Amino acid sequence: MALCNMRLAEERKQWRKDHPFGFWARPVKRSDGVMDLKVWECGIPGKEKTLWEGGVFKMTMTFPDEYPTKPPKCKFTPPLFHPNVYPSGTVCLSILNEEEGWKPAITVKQIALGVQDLLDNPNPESPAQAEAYNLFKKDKAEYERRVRRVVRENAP
Amino acid sequence: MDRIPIPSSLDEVEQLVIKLYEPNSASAISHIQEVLQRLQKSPEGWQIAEGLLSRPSDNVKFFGALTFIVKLNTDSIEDGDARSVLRNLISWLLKSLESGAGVIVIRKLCSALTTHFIHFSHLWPSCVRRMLHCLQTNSTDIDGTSAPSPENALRGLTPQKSVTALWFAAALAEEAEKTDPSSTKYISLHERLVNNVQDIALLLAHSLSRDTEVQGQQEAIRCLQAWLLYAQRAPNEQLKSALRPLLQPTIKCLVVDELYDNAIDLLTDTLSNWQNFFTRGDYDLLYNLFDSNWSQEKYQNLQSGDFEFDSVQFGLLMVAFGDAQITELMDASNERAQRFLAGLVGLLTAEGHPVAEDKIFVPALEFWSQFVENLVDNMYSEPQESVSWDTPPLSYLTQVVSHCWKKIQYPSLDVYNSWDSTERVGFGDARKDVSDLLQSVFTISGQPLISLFVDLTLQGVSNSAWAELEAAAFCLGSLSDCVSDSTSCDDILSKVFGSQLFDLLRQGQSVVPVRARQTCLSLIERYSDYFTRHAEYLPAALNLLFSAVGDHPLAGPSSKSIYRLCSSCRALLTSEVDAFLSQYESLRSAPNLDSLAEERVVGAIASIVQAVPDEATRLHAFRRLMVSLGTDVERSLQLKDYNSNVDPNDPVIARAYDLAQRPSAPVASSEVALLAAIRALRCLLGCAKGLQAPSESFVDLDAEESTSSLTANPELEQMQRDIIGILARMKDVFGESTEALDVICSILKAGFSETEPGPFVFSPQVITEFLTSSWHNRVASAISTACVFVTSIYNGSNKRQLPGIIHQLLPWVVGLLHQLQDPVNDPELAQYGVEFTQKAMIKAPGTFIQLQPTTLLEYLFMFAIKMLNGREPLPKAAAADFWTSFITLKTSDQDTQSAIDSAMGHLGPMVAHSLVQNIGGKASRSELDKLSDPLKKLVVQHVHAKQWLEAALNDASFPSDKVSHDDKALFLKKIVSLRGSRATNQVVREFWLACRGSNFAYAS
Repeated sequence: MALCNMRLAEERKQWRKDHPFGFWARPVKRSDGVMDLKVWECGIPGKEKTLWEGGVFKMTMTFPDEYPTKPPKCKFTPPLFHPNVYPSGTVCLSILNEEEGWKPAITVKQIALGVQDLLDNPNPESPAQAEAYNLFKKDKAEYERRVRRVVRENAP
Repeated sequence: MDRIPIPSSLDEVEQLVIKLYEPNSASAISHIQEVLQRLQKSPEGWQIAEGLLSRPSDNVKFFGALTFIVKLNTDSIEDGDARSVLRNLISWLLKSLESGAGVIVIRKLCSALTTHFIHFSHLWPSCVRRMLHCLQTNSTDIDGTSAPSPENALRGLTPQKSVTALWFAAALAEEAEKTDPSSTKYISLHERLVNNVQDIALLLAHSLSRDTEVQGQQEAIRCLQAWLLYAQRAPNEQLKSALRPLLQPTIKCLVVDELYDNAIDLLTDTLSNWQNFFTRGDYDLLYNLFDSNWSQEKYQNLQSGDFEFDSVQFGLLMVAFGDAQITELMDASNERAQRFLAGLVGLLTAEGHPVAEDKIFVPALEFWSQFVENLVDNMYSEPQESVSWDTPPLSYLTQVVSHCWKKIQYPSLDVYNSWDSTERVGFGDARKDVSDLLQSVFTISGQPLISLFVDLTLQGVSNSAWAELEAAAFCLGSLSDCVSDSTSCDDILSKVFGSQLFDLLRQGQSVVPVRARQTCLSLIERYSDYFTRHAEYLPAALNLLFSAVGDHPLAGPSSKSIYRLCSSCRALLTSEVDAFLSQYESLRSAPNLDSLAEERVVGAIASIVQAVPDEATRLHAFRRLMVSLGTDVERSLQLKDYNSNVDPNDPVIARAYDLAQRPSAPVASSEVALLAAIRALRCLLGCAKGLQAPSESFVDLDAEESTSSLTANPELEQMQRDIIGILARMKDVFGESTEALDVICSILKAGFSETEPGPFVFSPQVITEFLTSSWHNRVASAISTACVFVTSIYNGSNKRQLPGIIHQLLPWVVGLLHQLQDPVNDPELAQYGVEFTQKAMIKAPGTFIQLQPTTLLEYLFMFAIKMLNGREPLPKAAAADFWTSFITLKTSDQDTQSAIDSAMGHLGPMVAHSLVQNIGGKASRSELDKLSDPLKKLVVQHVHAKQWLEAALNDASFPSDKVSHDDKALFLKKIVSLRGSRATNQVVREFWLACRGSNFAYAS
């Protein structure tokens, strides 16, 4: 628990010092005005020169008590149309999976960049929602139309 | 390039090395490199290294030293040979110094000596002392038991030799830092290295004290930095106490121009990363330095806009020092600290715009954010009796806030346009950081911060100072979350929202520039909670927003605000519903009304309609809205029939295409028709969603069939018929469009969760008929809608109708699956179909098991087995859920239950077989958890489960030969004894790994 908070305080500091352009990420404030380091709200911008350019997608990172041994949970709010995002909004990405690619050394910045990269590079091996996944596989034109609309709805 | 022959003499090797450094193509260079590397690795490498070092060219000598490094790293040699290599290296170093060889040669030889130490530290444990001795005596004496103490040697060294010793010492730290920290191989190396640190400290102190030898001082600082990095990685008291006394001499070097760069880099870096390395005395010295004239000059240069590297470095040192002293800086009674803190306030006032010009603002802002957060933490952990805003540090916060407000003001448009994209994004990010800081400040200050920005906003209005107004509104907006749930700031906010600001903004771009308008408009959205409490300002706000919707750059944000305000203040706006409808009707004639903005506006108005208490008025308002939407629908249908081209200037084009997509040449009417249809449908969807009751309103789930649906209003029923008629026509005419059909399904879904009657709340019968009618395309979407439908009925008030509905829908769905033949033909349809049948079986087990003809039910079971065997992940997961549900299916009706049990008796072996095939290696790793569910249920629910699974495990078709009969038996035993507990998943995972043939041992 102490380790979790120490690491998050450090992550917060590092993010301040060096965060990728167009992204934002900050711990939420509890009702008494004090920050809750274990829940961060972030904005993931679509990468330039991709279908997703122009949208900024709101995501919540929730860090468990066992962080950094265990990865945070990343959830788009509202849920995002994307093959690797569950209908609940939770992101399915190997670096966020304790049993796959998660390592305690992975930083908030790397997660944010990893999710941004996922937007335009869905992983057809691990679909998380039927809607986006099936269009992505069967009907690219319609998939792209839908993504463009999602981008428009999420223009800052 | 031709193949290079392997050189046969040293001369040829030399020529090749010379060629390597000549301009050449990349492929030629890599080819030469390849040949040379082969030579280096050959047994002759040692002689080649020596030979090359004897040649005159520096490049060739360098390559000789490099070859030594390669040999030391790759060959394993005896201690005796290693001793002679060491002697040779020292000898070459002395010779090279003597002959005036270039820096690259000397440094590479120092590296080679370091490499030697890494591998053979036991041969010369006191390497630094030994090097100094050899350098001073010009000898290769490495055999004495212990080298003489270095003091004498240091005194006798030439400046050149001192620098050489420093290079060697720095390389030691750098190379040792690269070794694998977890390897036991290097433990004694690090011990010996630490034992050298006293000598290194002597060398450094000696070099730093020699004011006349600047290069020695520079190299000493570099060397110290290398050792500090090493010491940070492996903190050790001996290292710390030896190195610590060198900090003060380094601090003193700051004021020497030639040493400034090295010293400031070292200090900034160490302050940022290793604050407790500094002693009180070191901090005192730094405080004194910051008070000196030298510092004042640097500081003023920075403030007046000198953003050269050197100058910014000074600011970064201040920031790093501030970070390290953050606790002291919070102490109001520490005068010296408060004086320094004032300097950090001033860093926010350097000339120029942040990022593009001012390079210190962002780092200084980072400091302040950190500082304020620490203040907040402090106040919460030890509540203060009173907070004094008149004295530092709190009095500084007022200044910080005001500086930030000035700094984030946008420059004139031409300046802004001259920035590159990095500068623009950076500026935007700095603004976000400021809003972050303000939220933290608010935690301490509360209300007065709101007052400040309210006043600044009003000041901007009265002075027509748009950049200031924009920045103030931006700051005010960023505080909205801080006050959203309290009314304490309402009176202050009313000053802004009741001012002439809105009138001013309505006068359009000619008065207030677009950026300021945009920020002020978003202010309305951010404070929508305020407007729900202050209906008196709502009309002005909404009028303003409506006036901006037609304005292209403002369409997005203003329509969002309209939606949010109307939706959350719907009850307050019902008396104005006609005015809103008129607004919308006139908006529709605007040439560039954005489609997304229109959907939001329609949704906004529909939400007001929803709140109209009187039914007749409500229906009247709705009918008026539908007139507009119906026009669009009709137009799209007519266009579809038109069958010709449409001129790009035809007004219908503006209703079909958004500004950025407008065609310039005639387009086929069918294309225009489809786009117009989709837009109309999306507006209908906006309307249907707007009409949904707000989620917080009370819903009585236990209530029996709602009475209102019994006494339905005939006018409402007619509207429902009209709408469903529209949907049916659109479905048939635009049935080839996936998007159109998906939107139609979404419109249906919008009514499912409603408990009160409404135009989009169709009766279950109407929905069932609609869903089971013919679909040219995308029937999967209809089935998915049916899934949502039966789920929502279960939660709603039409519960009793459920078995009847399932009775109608189930044969339709299974019939569609039957037509499909195999799940692979349309995995999506297969998935939704099986998901539907799973829901049907849970909600109406009797209807499900009595599905007629019985062959259809059998077909469904086989289909679900096929899906479980298949490779598509989502359908497989749906099938796993289907079987989990079926295995556990229970009902109070005896006949039904015995039919279920009998079916399960037949199906059990097949389900077991399929699960075992998957777990035996056919499934992918990520599917295992899902597949463990039916397995767990099977084990718990069925007496024969063990036999079924056993048979499946020992079947000839079992996919893996990597597990033995005993492994399988052990697996089965574990699964059964775990009785469906969560630990089963882990056992399944291990078994799967073993079957896949990974290296994991399958042990108990």
